[in-house]
Amino acid sequence: MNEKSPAITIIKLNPQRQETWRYSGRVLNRDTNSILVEAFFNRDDLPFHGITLKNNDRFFERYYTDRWYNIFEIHDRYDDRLKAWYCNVTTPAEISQGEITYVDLALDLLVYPHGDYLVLDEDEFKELEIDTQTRHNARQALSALVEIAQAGRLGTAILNPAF
Amino acid sequence: MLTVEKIAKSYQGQPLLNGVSFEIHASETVCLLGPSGSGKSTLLRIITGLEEPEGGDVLWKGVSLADTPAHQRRFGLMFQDYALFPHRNVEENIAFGLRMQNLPQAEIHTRVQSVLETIDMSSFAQRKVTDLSGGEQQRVALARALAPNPRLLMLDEPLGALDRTLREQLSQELRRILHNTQVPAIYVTHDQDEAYAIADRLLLLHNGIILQSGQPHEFYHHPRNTWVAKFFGLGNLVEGKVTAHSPIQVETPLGLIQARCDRAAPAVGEKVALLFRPTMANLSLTLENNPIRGKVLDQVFQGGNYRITLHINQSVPQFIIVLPEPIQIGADLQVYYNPSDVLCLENNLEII
Repeated sequence: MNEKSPAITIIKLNPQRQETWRYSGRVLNRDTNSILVEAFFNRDDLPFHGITLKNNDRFFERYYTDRWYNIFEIHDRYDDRLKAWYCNVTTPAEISQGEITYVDLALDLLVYPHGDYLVLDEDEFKELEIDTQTRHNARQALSALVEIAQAGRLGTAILNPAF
Repeated sequence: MLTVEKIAKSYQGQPLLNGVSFEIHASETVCLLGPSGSGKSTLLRIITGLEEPEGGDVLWKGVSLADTPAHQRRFGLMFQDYALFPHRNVEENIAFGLRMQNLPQAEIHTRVQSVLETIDMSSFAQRKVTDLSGGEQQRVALARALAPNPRLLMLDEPLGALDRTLREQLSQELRRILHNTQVPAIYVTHDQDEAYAIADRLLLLHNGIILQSGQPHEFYHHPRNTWVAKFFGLGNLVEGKVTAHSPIQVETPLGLIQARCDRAAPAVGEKVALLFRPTMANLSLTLENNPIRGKVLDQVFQGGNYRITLHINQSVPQFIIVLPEPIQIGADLQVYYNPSDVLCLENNLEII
């Protein structure tokens, strides 16, 4: 059903703006300040905090040009079952015709389908060489994500650009 | 149909549910209402079988469900996060659970058409869910929960993500759909307006127990105590001490007030709280009425009436009344309350 969805490349950078990951996906929905992309996990099966990310698991990824995070909703490759939400604290995404680029700021939030969550990579975040304002924005973004997760609204955020 | 019996559960060492008991009858929509953190969602997860209680039992038609796993209870769920599949159209989203049950294709198709009709979205079957409005997505999520013919439907703050106007509109629609399907439902919300709009009956959860249950109007006319009155925003609460019986007289910062009591009369000397509903103040004097004097601090035109804030004294700095006519700000005003309109409540709350 996505035959007409345009392809897009997602590029993840570290704070030194060096590329750390690149993969392609399809645009499901485009809005003024955000974009919803479908992509498939392109690495080998990976045990990850109680879940297993499998090669070809389906990721729905919402990126924002005006928020300091993105949200991934992960579905199992076999039965489409919701596995988790994975949220990255990042700089606002730069979205062009064929590319989405963002700088990853280490902090992540992993949210299980039943609502429990884990904040990941706090130590790595402390070590990052970033300015005070960026650090502050990242912290704020994490709080906002935790709030959405606690309200049980990450799936709604994936569906609705305005949420 | 459903019996919840003395459910107990603690959270991080603190008791969260402390012996919760209630019943849901055939085709009844019951709203479970309570402030954030009162354990509403936990209770719902225990009923669905996703979480185990530390005490108590959940029964269906008198039979314990303790050994029935969640997926065999045939309870439909619509959680806060309805998480539709963004890459599937409306029909595929609704059919998803049925496919998982390996139902024949023809039956899946029939059921999907039938629930689409129920939610008035027959013409939306092929639409992408990402192209739908928030309200439409919410209806599709309800259809998905209804498709497997659940014997009980549970909805956890389903309208929480929507704005107020849409929520009011959809809550009426939900009520209509739930009544048409005849499926008994538990509807969880923290919003009393939504609860009033949806419920045949309300259950108010506070401090780990069902503090009060009844029809929406009973909460309005007969709140059980000051906490209930305050939670529903029913009016001015003023503390006082009982000085006499028949009729009940209470000494308060407003003066000596005659009141009505729904429950066993409090003893002389007992501390109580009086509830004065803003709309029950009137300007005409009769002998038995309680006079209340104050200075007009503010007034706001509201719904055809005037919402007036009175300053009575230091103990009661603000007292809200609603009158059909405007009063000049700064004026001294005397209003009257009929004793039968002043409700004497058990005071379980520090008011001031």
